[in-house]
Amino acid sequence: MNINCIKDSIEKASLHHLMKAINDFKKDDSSGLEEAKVHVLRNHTIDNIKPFLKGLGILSQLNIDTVIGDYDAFMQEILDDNSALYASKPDVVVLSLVLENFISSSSNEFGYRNIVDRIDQIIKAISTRSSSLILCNTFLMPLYNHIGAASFKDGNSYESIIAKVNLWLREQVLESSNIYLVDFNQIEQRIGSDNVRDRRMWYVARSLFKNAFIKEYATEIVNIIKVLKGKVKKCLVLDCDNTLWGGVLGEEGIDGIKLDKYEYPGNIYYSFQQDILKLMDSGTILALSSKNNEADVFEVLDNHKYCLIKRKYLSACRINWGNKPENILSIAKELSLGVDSFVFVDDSPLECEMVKQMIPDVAVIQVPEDLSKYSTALLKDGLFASLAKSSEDKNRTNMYVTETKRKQVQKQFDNLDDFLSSLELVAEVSKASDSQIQRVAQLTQKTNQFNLTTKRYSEVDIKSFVDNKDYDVLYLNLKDKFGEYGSRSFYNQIR
Amino acid sequence: MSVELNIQNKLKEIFQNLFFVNPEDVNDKTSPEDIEQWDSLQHLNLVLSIEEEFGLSITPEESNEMLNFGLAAMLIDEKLK
Repeated sequence: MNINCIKDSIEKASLHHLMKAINDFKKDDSSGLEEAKVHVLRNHTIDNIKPFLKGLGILSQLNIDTVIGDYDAFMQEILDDNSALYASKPDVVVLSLVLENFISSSSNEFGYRNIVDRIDQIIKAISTRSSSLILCNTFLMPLYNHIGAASFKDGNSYESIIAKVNLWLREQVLESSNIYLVDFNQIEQRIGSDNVRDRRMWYVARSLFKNAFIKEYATEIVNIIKVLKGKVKKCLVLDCDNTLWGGVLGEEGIDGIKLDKYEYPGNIYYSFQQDILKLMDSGTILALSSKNNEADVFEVLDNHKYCLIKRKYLSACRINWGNKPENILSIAKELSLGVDSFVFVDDSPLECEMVKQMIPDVAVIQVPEDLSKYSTALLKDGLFASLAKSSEDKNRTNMYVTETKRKQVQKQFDNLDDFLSSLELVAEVSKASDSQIQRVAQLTQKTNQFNLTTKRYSEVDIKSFVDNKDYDVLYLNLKDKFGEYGSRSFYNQIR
Repeated sequence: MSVELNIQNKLKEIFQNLFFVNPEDVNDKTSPEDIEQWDSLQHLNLVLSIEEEFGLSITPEESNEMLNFGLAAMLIDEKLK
């Protein structure tokens, strides 16, 4: 009940309702939540981000403790080795800067070089003292050019400088593993400029952003913390009729269903399938759960001209007349994945509600009634967020499909020992070098059940172990006659 | 029920949500002196919450005049007329 109050008040960006809902929630038992810490360094009033981080955290089983640094005093905090910033070892340091208060735009100092040098100093000063992830933001482009068309002709115009600084920030993120970025301009596009700035509160209290904006900002931060804490979605379970295509296959047949590259509404389902392929490409594994005849569905997957999802991409299929929660549980068992890493997409409100009720840990997306909203439904909650794309992500689908073949062989053996020896397993233990750092960090972030210490490490942490002579970072690669399992475990040993 | 009582109750609810006070302890004279949480920052949130709940907009000058509960309720009543 309280959870729904939190959800509603965040949805509406209603601060006083949110504060009440969080206060009510605290009275309940919140001990099941995982702790996380955020430290905000800022040059503007952004204190309202605290309840939004708290509320969004609770919705994701996280208890996020936020410290807001003193107003425009971030330099003192950063340069003081004994400051609370370093003592509390936050998971994420949010460097929240607005240009309006950074370097006066009327002064001679206001220029591309000065701005990026200042930000560079700040980032380096934090990085040398802390292994926390640093989250910067881009700067908002004004809604109108100060000097009209001439703005583009002048490399030092206010708008040109912002564009160049924003590009520079993106480059920093590409180059360093501990820096991340929230694009304020992207948030503005998402929610509309009327919901971004509160000019009145800026002049009264140096509070630039409306709560609708702060909500989105907090969502981006929480999405990153979720990945750091191993709360990531790995498997997408899809319904077929009115989800992968329009219409009911059993009634309309392969030529009657709506799935088309060009024609409305088939093109909506086509682009939905395109989005799914992109997710698969970055490591999400796919499964079907549909009330249909299996042969009919496979006919579409194999032979429909515009069906992008092919049978070989699927790691598990439950095409039957059974109930969906049971199907999902059985897919989870087959793939050895926790249901909390599952996302379920279906058009039926009844099926969606059943899954929500019976397996609350599964994230449920109902196909929106307004189909034009379908393309964003999958991505808007940041369920498939990741911190870096490793080459192994691409192979993961392959690994799960191979796993399905292994399971089929397993069925042919009477006992597990015979089966295991038939696999011809080979394990290789090697010392991790720089090229494995990303994967090793990911292992600590994504492994729950067999994470013996439950410590999560960032890439910066792992790199510091690799570089330290006192530590050996070992990882294990496993393969059998069907294929590689990939890097499956890692071990950090003090010499 | 008079309009004013409606406003008072709605405003008390906002006070309860934002400042964690018991609505029965709030009267016309209740001011930041009496409520620890009612600092300058939460005053901004009080303004935003009133705007949200009553569907009106408050200028910085009007915001400065909301020195206690009674004055805030009066301002809302005026603006809704």
